[in-house]
Amino acid sequence: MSATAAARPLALGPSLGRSTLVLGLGFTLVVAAGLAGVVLGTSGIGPGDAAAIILHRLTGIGPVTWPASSETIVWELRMPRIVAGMVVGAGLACSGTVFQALLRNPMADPYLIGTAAGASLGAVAALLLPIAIGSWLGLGLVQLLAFGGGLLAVLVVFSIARGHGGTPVVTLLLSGYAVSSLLAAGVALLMFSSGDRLAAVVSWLLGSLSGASWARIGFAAPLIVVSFALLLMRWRHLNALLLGEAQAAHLGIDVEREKRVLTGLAALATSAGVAISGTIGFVGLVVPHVLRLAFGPDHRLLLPASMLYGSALLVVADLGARLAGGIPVGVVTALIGAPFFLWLLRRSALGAR
Amino acid sequence: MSELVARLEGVSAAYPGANGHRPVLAGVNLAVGRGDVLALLGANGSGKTTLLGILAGTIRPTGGRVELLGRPIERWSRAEIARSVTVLPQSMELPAGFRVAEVVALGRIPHARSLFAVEREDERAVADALADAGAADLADRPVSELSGGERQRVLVAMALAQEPRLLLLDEPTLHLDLAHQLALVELLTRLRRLRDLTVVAVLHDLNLAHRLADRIVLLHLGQLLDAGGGRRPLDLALAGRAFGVPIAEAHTADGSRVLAVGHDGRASARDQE
Repeated sequence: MSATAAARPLALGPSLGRSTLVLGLGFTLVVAAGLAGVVLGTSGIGPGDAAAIILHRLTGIGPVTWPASSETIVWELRMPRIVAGMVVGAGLACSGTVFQALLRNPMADPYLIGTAAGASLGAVAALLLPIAIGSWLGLGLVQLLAFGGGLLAVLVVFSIARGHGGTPVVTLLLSGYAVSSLLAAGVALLMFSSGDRLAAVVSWLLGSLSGASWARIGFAAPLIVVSFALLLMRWRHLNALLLGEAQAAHLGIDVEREKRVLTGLAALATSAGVAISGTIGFVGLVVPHVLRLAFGPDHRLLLPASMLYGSALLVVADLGARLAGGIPVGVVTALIGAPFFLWLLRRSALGAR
Repeated sequence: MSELVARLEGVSAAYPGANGHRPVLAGVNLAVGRGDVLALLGANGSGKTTLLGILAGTIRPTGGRVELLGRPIERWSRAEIARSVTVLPQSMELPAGFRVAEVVALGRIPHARSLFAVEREDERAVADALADAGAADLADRPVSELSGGERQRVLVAMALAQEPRLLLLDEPTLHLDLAHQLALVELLTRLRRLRDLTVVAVLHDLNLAHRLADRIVLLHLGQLLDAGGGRRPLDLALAGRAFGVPIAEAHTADGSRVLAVGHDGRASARDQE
């Protein structure tokens, strides 16, 4: 073996300083977006009061100097929306990152292999069912069927695509497209016959955080946090998959097993998010794509970064939706995300770097 | 007898197909000694890539015994194999956004011990690999800006960072022009001395194989045939049978030997003019 020593240290990934900067900025954005979300609104609750209410709720410290209505607005309405936005945004962006690596496609998003269509059919069916069951763990039938529907759809898509020699990515994409189309037809049929419930159905499909509650966060947050932690531990596997499946296998990775694990974890995070927020678009597509261009493709940095920046984006988008008179947040993410994405496409088409 | 890096005994394999399995290897025997450089040739569909996959542990044979470094391959985990065996792919698109040193560091994945940290050992291995592959000056370049020859050296560096005992090459010269083909053969010949590497290379070009390898084996009708090579003359009749065309040896004006497709089995350099 040669004994050539590098004259200076080689950069084998993002440096500690750069990672700290990227993640520090992301964390600051999340906190700033959260603060703005608590303070801004039409009720005229000052920043001081808002901070005191949150501190009081979290620690029990301080005298109560505000009207009860302020506390309800801050703690029962605004805070759950903000925290739900953080959790769902993190989950979607993180899953998007994983699917883009797994499918080796920068246009992949977390909804591609059936999660969105399955969750939609589940939620819409629940909205239209004439039965009213009680809540379970603070979740209504809509959330439960959306969550189950999303996971079930991915399971079906994966089973169909799976052959003797493994699960080819192209087959997975086609299977996802076909199953999604079928489920979407089911959704359309239900919408057609939904009568006066159509508004509720459309509102769910567009995605909204207005129904956020601590109970729903308590359901989705642990699933998303655990999925994220397990995905982050597989950052090397995701990096290896960027070289293609054959080369990943030569780097010692059991590719078929890895596909199942990564798809399962990403689908879990997506379905948990969609269950409490509806199908909010563009976060899972744009955030990983932009971050990869800005900070490079190394998943050791990309995964935590997508979690933070996805959180911040969805909280800001939801604040915009709220201030714009309560339009669905999915409309805002599309309004921000689509033009930005088109600008990126145009820029790369022109060959700029 | 030198230490064996790989040993195949009566190995058979088949392509899965609609009408059952089509046999591709039928009782292949092969012993690869430490430090050997072996060229594997054969017509399209003769099973070269299958054989390489069996050595890499990604294809399971339907029969026979395969041993790596004296241990049956079914007792090796995927990660264990990756710490001893590397495959240098055909020219491959490298993921955009990486710098050369980062891509070469991907070769360290099978050796990773800590969950997140890059260790001193990895930095050393990557620096050595870059230097040995003649790619040290490329370390900070974005991979999207590499030329074809540079990309080939980076791929070699990535394979070396894996610190393999056995290096497998799958038609590594496929997308390279003549100068780069020769440069790659030169690089591999140098690495073999430098790194105590054992090499099995699937090649198409008999001349290149002759230049690189000290043993040439031919796959024909599911069997592996020794065709000479190294200091021994190439068995032209055998090579001709395996490829289905007559192959002849000619001498150029400066005295070097050239293998060429012959005419009725009696070819000369003049026939090619």
